[in-house]
Amino acid sequence: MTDIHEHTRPKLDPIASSARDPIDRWLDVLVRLLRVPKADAQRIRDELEDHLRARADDLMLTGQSEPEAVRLAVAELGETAELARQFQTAAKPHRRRTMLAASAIVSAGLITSAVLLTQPAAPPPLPSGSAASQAAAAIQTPPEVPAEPVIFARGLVANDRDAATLGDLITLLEETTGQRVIVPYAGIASQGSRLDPRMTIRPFDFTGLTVEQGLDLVGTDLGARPGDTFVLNTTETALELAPQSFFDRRDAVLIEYDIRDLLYPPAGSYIEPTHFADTIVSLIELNAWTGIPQIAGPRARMGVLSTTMIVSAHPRIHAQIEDLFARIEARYEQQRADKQAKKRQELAASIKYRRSEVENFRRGVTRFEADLDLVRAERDKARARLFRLSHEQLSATGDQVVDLMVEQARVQDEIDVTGERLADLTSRLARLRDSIGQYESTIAVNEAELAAMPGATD
Amino acid sequence: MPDAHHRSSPKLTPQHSELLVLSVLAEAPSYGYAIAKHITARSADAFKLPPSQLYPLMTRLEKQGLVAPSWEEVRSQSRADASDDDAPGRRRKWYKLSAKGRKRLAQRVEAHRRFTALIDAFIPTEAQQGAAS
Repeated sequence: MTDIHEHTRPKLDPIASSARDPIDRWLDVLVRLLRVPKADAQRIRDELEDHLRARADDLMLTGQSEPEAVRLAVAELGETAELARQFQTAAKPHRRRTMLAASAIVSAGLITSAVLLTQPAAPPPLPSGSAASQAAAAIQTPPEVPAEPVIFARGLVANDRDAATLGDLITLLEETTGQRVIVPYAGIASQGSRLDPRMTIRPFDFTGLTVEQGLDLVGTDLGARPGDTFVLNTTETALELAPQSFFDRRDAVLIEYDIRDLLYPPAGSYIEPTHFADTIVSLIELNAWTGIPQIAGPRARMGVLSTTMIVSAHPRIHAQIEDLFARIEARYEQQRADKQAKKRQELAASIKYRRSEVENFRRGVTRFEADLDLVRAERDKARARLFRLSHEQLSATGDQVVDLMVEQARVQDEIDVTGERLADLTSRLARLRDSIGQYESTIAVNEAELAAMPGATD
Repeated sequence: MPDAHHRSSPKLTPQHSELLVLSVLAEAPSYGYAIAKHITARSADAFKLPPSQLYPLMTRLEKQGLVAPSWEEVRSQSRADASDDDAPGRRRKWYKLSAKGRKRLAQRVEAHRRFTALIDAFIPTEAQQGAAS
């Protein structure tokens, strides 16, 4: 009876049975402790479940009982809360203790580029006193960012700033980027080290210096100037930490720019090449083109030969020049298009005006031709009358002859006047027809011009 | 017994852990537990990458795009319902080295070589050591 009962007892469904599994119970607790998005939590759970069960399987192979194997596997994972915390920090892009940048934004750029640190705004040789420490060491978003991916680390936590050493900062950078950080600091030689200055690395050089002191020292040594920024530069094998100006000088490349086309703005007059170059310089990192006497030369140099502008500068600056040129060209292109549109409008207006004028002229021609017919008829009538008068004269006598002669003279006058009017009308007609011909040929020329223009639709 | 002291498993720095994991994955795709076992076995038990370090590290590598994960359905013996074929299996997360991960590994190896070479430059040769003692 009991046997039958056992057999017919409904089987536990997998979910109910798994809920009683110690591994599942432990995972439930972990997931509740994780403060990550739900989907992420589920993935972590799945992965750890796989680990625990695989581990338990292994332990069972060594002869442990199943409950014991499960217990051991879970125990190996350590304290649950601690593990949850580890996942949390790993899921965040930046893990770090007190010192840095809870606000650091590190994205896909971890492999790449630059952390920009502001250099003290005071002149380089300043001791790391109050003025320097205020502006120093705060890691900031850069004013101008090259197109490549960049890491920005912002703001050392204010309270710990004075305590943080440059060694700490470099260690942090190495941990977050996973690359070695090199400081190309030559001054180390004067401190008695025999290391190759270009290979000088943390930590033993910088552990004793606060971030401000360290950056001051490096900045002074590498000819940084007020307002300079510290940058992380990516090389094949490491990251280099130095003022931007250092990389600007070291990695400068020479490029010749053909500026011929840029000197003729479509809406304006010719620009002197030197004037053009001055303008470009004033628009791109003005400070880069001037040096500090006895400390460091300019970071970028520029010369103009005829219509070629030669620039020696960091690729970052070249990129800005190219961008600026592209924008100028685009503007010229726009001006050209505007000019064409205006020309099209003018042509169309001129054609319209001439057409209406031709219409007027034609109406004039019709009127003049009618007048001409009228005047011709008058003249013919006068001629016929004169002929009749001369005929009457043959049979006239005495006073009649005199009257006839007077009448003849009057008719002759009339004929003369109509003749003049005829000549006048004829020449006017000729002029009108002339004008029509001229206008029509101008219209034809304009229409051909309009048709030949790009983008002409109407 | 100085030897015994040396053998007490040296602590792995995060950089070294990353180097080891990337190296293991460079050979073949693998999953968390197998990676940890592999590292322990290869180092003759000298290096241990406990789950509390391994999985957060994998999370970070994945976030950085150095490894590409994929999932597989597997079955277990340790589960009460494992004998039931209809029961859902568990999911296993496999990791494969991405192109980016391969590049990172090359950088890490290069940096490691340079670093050890630098350190080596400071270490007295055996002859010098002999002369000193």
